[in-house]
Amino acid sequence: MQERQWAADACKGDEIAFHELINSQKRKLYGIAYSYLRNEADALEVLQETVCRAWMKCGKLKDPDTFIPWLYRILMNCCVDELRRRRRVDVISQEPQQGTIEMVDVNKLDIERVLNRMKPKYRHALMLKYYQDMTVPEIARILEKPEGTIKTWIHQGLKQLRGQIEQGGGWDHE
Amino acid sequence: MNRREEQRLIDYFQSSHIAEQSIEDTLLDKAVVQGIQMGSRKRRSFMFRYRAGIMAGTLALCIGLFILMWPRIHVGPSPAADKVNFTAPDYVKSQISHNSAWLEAANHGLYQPINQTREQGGYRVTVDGVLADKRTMIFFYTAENMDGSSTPAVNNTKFLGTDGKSVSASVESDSFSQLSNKKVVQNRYILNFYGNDTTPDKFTFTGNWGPGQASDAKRQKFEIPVKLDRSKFINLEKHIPVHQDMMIHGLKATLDDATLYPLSTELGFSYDKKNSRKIQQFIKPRLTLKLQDQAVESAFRGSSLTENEPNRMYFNSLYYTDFSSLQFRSDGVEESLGDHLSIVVDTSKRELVHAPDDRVRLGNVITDSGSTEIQFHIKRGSNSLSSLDLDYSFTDGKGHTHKVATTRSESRILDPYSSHSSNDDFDVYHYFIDTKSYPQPLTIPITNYPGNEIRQPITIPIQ
Repeated sequence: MQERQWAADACKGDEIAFHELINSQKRKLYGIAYSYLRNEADALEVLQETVCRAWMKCGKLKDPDTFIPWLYRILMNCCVDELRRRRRVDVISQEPQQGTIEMVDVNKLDIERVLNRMKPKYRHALMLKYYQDMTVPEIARILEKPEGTIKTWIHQGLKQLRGQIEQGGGWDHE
Repeated sequence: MNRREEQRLIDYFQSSHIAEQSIEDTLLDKAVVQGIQMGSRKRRSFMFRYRAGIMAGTLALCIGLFILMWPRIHVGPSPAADKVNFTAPDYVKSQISHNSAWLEAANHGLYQPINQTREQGGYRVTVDGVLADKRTMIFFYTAENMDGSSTPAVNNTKFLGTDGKSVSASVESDSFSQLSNKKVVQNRYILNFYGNDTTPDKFTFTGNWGPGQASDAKRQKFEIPVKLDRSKFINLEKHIPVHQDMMIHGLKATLDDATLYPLSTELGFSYDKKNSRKIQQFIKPRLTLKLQDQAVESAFRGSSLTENEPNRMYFNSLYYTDFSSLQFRSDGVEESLGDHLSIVVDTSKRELVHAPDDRVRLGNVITDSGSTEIQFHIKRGSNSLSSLDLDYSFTDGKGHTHKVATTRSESRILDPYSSHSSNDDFDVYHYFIDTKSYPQPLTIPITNYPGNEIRQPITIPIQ
């Protein structure tokens, strides 16, 4: 209830309420950012950018109940932006790497590689289900899609994960 | 059959759980505070669309309002301002009571109950009332979804004049919305009138109501005529001639006059037309007034620009404030680099061909199948300076005009935006165009650009 009141006040431009609301979510927001970016500095940077964008735009929200889902969407979009930027930089500055991954869990590297290549909508759905442990209706609310669509995305995401890991990766999308 | 992949994902996200639990609070707090500070800086500047054709059709009037939030603490509330002496729905009284200037005005009879209700297609919309003076109108309405459980949402709201065109005003709609329950929304709009335009006595409020995600075809169009009694406010203004010059580093400005209205205060400036150098904004402008033995500042709300100079500046209302002296103050000015600035970029060669100065550099050019993002790096300067903004249209090498990209469904423009990294000494401006082959180079007009900062305290006595 407290969060709803903060959200209602934040929508009216109340900075203190906005700050309280973000404080109540900051750890979870950071965790989600970390799940995409796998790096503390980048996750903090994206958290900062998310808070900035949310504070700039929260006055446009009409329904306080949508505040948290909306905040998550901003965060996930910021993460995707950062990954796209990284991919671009990687292409420009790729250097051959040798002998640097012996100590890293290969399974996790595989999953990370597949998630990084997956369509963002599938990745968002998988992250919300298997990291945030959300139900399909909860995910549907955050991603603003019907529950059936979310089930399809989760199914497709898992299918791609299985297929690409078995094949050793490498497909194109969009 | 997905169980193995599901378990792999759960294992994969374990490290995120650990990171989430182990990150230091101080680092999170720093990111949150910096994010809010950045957002506060950026939300100060947003453009309002302003109907063309005013000022005899000859003067290009650009309203570039830098809106600050209406402050909660307002100068000069009299003891009587704590009491509500007008009749209105509770949510209206509550909203008006949050702002002492609004409350003073309402208590002086400027709140006009309208109580016009229309019902159709399971929706009921009521215009509850209007708090208005000659320059400002705060419009309150209630919308109800009588059949369903979803919250009524509106799009395409307009305030139409008797000529059927939108009234010439900037409309703020984003500052307040209240849900008394899921089916009822109470909301307000703030209309500000500039130049020769004043609050009209007749207009029609229109909008399409429906569930949040509904298409226009599934929405109900409402048209509610509203009549105001202008005699209540049309003569409520106090005009103070000033005619004081100021000179700063060869730039001359004259404060011509101040006009006090019940809901706002306006200052009029003029400039030396012979001088090609221009002031594009004042740094930290404010009104300082003396209330008995106390000096108080009235917050700056925005300015309207004529030929890129701030010819009118707007502050919170002082109409009902009993002050003994009033001054305009500023910490200096920002000098414009010139009119008609642009950035020229060759996206195929990934080269910046031209920019107003060396503060702008080309960052990444990221191409997707739908849109191409061009990133410009702009060196960060003082917080007081204007920020970079680019036009939503650009021309290609053959002079053809193109619009910025939209989303795939073309339902939404991909708005350009700025982002900021604390590790860098520059901001990144993200600009999106459709991915296709353009004759190069592309010329993008600049609508806002940081000028030269000239810091020198300015004080002009008004009264």
